[in-house]
Amino acid sequence: MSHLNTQIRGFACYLPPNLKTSEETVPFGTLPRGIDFKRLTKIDSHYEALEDQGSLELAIEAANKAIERSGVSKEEIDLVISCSVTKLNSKLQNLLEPCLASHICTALELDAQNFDVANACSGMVTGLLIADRKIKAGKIRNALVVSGEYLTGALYEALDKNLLFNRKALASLTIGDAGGAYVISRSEEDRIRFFEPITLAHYSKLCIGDAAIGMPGPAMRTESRKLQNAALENLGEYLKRGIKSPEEWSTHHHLISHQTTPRAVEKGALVIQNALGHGDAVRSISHTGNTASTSHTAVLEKLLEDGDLASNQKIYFIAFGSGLSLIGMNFQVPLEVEKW
Amino acid sequence: MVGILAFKFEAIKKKSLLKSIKGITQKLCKQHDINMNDIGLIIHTGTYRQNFRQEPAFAAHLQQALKIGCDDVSSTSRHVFSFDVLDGSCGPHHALETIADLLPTMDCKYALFTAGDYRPNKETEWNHKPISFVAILSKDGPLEILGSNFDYNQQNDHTSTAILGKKYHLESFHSEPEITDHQIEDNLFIASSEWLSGEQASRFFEWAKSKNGILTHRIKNRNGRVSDLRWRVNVE
Repeated sequence: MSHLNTQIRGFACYLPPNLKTSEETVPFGTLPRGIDFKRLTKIDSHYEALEDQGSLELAIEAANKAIERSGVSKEEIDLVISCSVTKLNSKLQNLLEPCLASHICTALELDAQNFDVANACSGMVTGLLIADRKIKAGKIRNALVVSGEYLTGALYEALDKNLLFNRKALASLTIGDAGGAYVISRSEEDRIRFFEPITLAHYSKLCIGDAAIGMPGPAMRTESRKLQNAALENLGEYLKRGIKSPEEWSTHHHLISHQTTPRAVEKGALVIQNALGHGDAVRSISHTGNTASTSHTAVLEKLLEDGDLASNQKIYFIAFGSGLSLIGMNFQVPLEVEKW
Repeated sequence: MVGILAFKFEAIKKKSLLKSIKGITQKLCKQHDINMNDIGLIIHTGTYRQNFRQEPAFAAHLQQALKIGCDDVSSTSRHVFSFDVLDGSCGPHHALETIADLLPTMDCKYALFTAGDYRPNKETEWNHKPISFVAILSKDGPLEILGSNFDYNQQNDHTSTAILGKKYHLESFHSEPEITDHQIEDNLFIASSEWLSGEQASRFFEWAKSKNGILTHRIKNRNGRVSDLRWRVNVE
C-alpha cells in the first residue's frame, strides 16, 4: 500500500436566502389526525432555492466557498465528484447526460476528471471515500466532492396529495434545499479515517425517489417509521464494529449523523449513548430540514458560525441513506478554520 | 492490480433490467464457481432507470435481489457496499476505475460491476436496444485495469434532460449530438457514441477477451466527452 495521507482542506454549505418556517409550509391541520408537524419533527424551518436556482447552482455556490476556504487553486483540483440525489435545473428538469459534475466543472472552469455518484443521502461520504482512495493511490492531488440538493419540489408534490391516504409522502415534508462541498487533499499526516461502508439492502425499498407523475420535479415515497427503526437498530452495532473502546470514541469533539429530523437525531443520540457513551457530543440542527446528501455540511457550517469549531478537533460522521447505507468516517477539522 | 475474472451479458428485451442483471449474475457465478457471498462491493452504471429513479442506487436493489449481505449488523455479520457511478456512456470507465480504487482496501474477494439501462416509461421515445452486462472483478483478474485518461476539451452543448410531458417525464435534447462511429485501430477500440453502458462494456470485452497485450477502450459520447481506459489482457 502507498503511504500517502489525506485531509479535508475545506468545506462549505450554501443555504439559499429563502427561509420558510414550518408554520408557513406545513400549518397545523395539514397532517391527518391533528398531528402538529413541528412538534412531531422539531424542524423549525427550511430554505428553498430561488427562482433561478437548481441543483447545479446550489452546488456551485457551495463549491466556490469550499475552494476559497481550502486555499487550493482550481488548477490543482484533479477530480470532481457530484453526489446529488437531485440533478434538477431551475425548471425542475432532470439532467441526464452529461453528468452533473460536468456542468459543475464547466461553470467553475475546472479541468478535472468528473463523474456522479448516486448513493442517496450517503452520496457525499461515498464521494469522499472514492476521492480518499484515489489520493492514497497517488492518482490525484486534490478533489472537489460536491452536491446541490434542489429537493423542495418533492415537498410541494407531497402537499398536493391527500396525506391521509398517502402516508408515504409525509417524509417529503421534512426536506429543504442546500448545496454542500468539500475539498479533500494530500496530507503529511493522516487526518481522515473511513469505517466499513455497508448497504443493508433488505431495506432498499423503504425510500424511493422517482420523477413525479403529473408534475415537474421529483416525488419521494418513504416508509419512514420502518426506515428509521432499521437505521437505529443497526447503528449501535455498526459503531461498535469500528470503534474499539468508549475511550477511543470519546476523542471525538462532535458526532454528526445524517439530519432527517431533530427528533430522529435525538433518538440516535440515545442509541449512541447506550452503545459507546458520549451521546452529548451528537449535534443537531433544526433550521434546514433534511437536505439529503448535504446535511453533514449544514451542521458543520452551523458549528462554524457559532464558533464551535477549532483546528484539529476530531469529528465523526455517520451517513445514512436510502439503500439502506451506513458509512462512518472521522476527520480532523482543517487547520486555520478559525480564519475562515 | 484489479482485473476482470469473468463477464456475461444479454439483450434485455422485454425483461426488467433488475431481472436481467440478477439472472446473468447468478449464471456467471455458477459457471465460474464463484460464491456470491464473497462479493463485497457492487457498482452499477447506466443512464436510464425506471421512471427516472433517483434513489436508492440501482446497485442496492440488485444486492437485495441477489440476497447477499442482507443481514442486520452484528459483531460477525458480513456486508456488501452498493452504489452507482454515472457519466452517461462513459460511466463504465469511471465505475470500473472506482472498483480498482476501492477493492484493494476492502475485506472481500470480489466486486460486481454491472451496466445497463431501462426505458423510463412507455411515453418516453426510446429507440435503444439495451444490453445488460455483469463482470466479477478480483485483485488478480486476467483482464487487468491499468489506468485512465479523460479529455473534455471537445465537449459540446448537447444535453439530455427529463422534462414533464402530459403526465410522465420524457427525454428531451438540447442541441445536436456529435456522432462517433465504432472503429478499431490496432489495440485501440473506439466505441460508437450511440451505445448505452451495457453495450459499451459487452462489445469491448467480447473483442478484448481473445487479445493479449495492452488495449485501450475509448468512449466518445454524444457531447464530445472522451474517456480512455487501458487494460492489460491475458499477459502471464
